Amino acid sequence: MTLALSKRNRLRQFLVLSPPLLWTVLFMFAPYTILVVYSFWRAQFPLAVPDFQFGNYIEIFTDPQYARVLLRTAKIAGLVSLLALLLAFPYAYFLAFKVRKPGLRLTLYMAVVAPLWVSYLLRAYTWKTILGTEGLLNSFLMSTGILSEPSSVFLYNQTAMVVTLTYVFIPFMVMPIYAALEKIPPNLIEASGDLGEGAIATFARITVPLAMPGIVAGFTMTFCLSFGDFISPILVGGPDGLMIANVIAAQFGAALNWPLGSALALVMLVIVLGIITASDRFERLGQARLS
Amino acid sequence: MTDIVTLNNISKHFGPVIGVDNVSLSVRSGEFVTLLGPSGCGKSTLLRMIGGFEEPTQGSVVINGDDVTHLPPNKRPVNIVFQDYALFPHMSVGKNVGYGLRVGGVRRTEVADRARAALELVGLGDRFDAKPHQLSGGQRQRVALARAIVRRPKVLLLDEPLSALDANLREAMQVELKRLQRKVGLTFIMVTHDQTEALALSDRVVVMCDGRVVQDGTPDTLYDRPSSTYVAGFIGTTNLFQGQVHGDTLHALGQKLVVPEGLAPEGRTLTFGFRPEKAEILTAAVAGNGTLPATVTDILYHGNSARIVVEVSGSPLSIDRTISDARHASGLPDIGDQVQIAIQPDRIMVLADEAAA
Ligand SMILES: Nc1ncnc2c1ncn2[C@@H]1O[C@H](COP(=O)(O)OP(=O)(O)OP(=O)(O)O)[C@@H](O)[C@H]1O
Ligand SMILES: [Mg+2]
Repeated sequence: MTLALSKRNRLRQFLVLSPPLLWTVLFMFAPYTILVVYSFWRAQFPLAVPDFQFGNYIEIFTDPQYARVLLRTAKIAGLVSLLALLLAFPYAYFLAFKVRKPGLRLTLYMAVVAPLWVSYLLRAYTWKTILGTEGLLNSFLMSTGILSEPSSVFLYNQTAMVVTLTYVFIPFMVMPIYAALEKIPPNLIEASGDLGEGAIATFARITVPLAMPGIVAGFTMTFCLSFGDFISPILVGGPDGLMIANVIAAQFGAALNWPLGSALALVMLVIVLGIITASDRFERLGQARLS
Repeated sequence: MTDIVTLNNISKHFGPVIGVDNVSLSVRSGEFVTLLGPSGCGKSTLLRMIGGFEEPTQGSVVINGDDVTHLPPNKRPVNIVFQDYALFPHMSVGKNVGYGLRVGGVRRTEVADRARAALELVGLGDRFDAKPHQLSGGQRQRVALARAIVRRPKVLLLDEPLSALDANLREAMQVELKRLQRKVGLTFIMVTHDQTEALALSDRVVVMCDGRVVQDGTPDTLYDRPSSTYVAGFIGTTNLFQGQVHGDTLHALGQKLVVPEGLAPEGRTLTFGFRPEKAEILTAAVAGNGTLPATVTDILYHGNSARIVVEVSGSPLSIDRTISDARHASGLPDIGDQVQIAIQPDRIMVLADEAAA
């Protein structure tokens, strides 16, 4: 009787779970498997020939242009994360500790988070219109007389990319940091003051260590999202602004070298997974210290 | 003895809400003072103004001769033990206790030594490297105490330090708190809403109501001579009734009671009262001068004592009787018995009615 019941339960569980399971297998694991298989094939323009060889990987690790793109991508993603952190932390701190009215706090929080509902492309495009020769920045500088004619130095370079990506991904930095700061009991701050520490020392010894899980989470998300971005290089990046995702896209597109593209994609995947794992370890270490 | 803390007419308003209303208070060095009152009466706010966490709307705070009214907490020679302890979760017990010592420029090795000594004082010398979450509630409480006293403050503030503990542990910690205070000779100002705790620990109890001080005195003064029905009702149980004094006779409860001459102004209707253990139950046969005929309506057995509820002229009165006999409940009357009660004349209290005062 109980056996039959548990069997029925299991059947029902299976029925409920099978659509999402099927979906995951079909649309997540299958593409990755195909990617792995392709990465060992050989390219014979314009075809990909089935094979099992490491030529694509050898090319990636020996041809310096790939290392250069990877480094540039990491540099831009690092700069974006750093800039986002420097902007997001004070903002989240201000929201969590200085804004007293809950209504105002929600409004200011939503002001940062709401753009996530707007298409990514649109948000990145905004910066094209701000930084471009016909853009807001130029007309402002001209109307104040700082510039006599529109300048094109603002757009199509790495700075423009960093600015755009920071704007696009900063919500992912604000959210976890704000959540971590909000969880700090106010009387820990009071206790630190009571024990003789001033505001700055309290910030360094109590607030920042307790906000660390949020900082790490925000940094990881912003870094990984920027690392894989390929739209902003196209929109606002210059000739020296190609990122790894653009190179991969090119292999699947104009270059028609799917095996190399697959190998590059897998290398990138491993890097991102490595970063996520490291940050997860770090956070868990912090959790053990905190809980 | 010198005053270590003086509050001069301080008030604290939170918008329209009055947290503390014109309180003046002096605490002598080495004293154990308790702020007692029901929830929301302003005890914590008063304590937080001494600690520097709230700035008074009016009045001044003087600690150790210095006006500290507008100084932040880190500039005051006081330390506080928070109700939920507020231990830093990311630091070991030893680091928590040593936290406030680094500020004084004490050397690292000495910080550890002094932290260890403070932990030993509260009986936790062996938990130096533990994390707060690995400790029990009572142990965390003691770490919070150690962290506060290690800086040798002039005054130690405690906001309901024992309220998060269960009843048994609370009693044990009361003993420990008192022992600690005697040992370190510090001035303690403690907030509580538990009247037994206040009576057991304090040299002086300050009873508060609606942001004001209603009575300030030693525990026995408060118990034996409460100034108002509010205090009498808040501390222990009191039988209250209206009456008038004529000479050495108190006309109350439809009867005549014997009282010391001059207990209260002649002929004025006032509130009188007595504590349940200040009266005796006699058999109906021994009616005498000043005894009251009564009917037993309820008996509540407490082990070493019993509370007997009787009715005198329609008013219920509670009377406690200790039970020392081996056989429990022997010698207690039965429900429905006719008895006489005798109230000790010098134990009848006169309470200033709020309306009259
Ligand atoms: N930060 C604040 N903002 C607004 N009102 C406050 C604030 N702090 C306290 N109050 C109000 O001041 C009054 C006294 O509060 P307080 O915390 O001092 O009471 P308490 O005697 O400590 O009570 P409890 O026993 O519940 O802790 C209450 O009416 C409370 O609502
Ligand atoms: Mg309180």
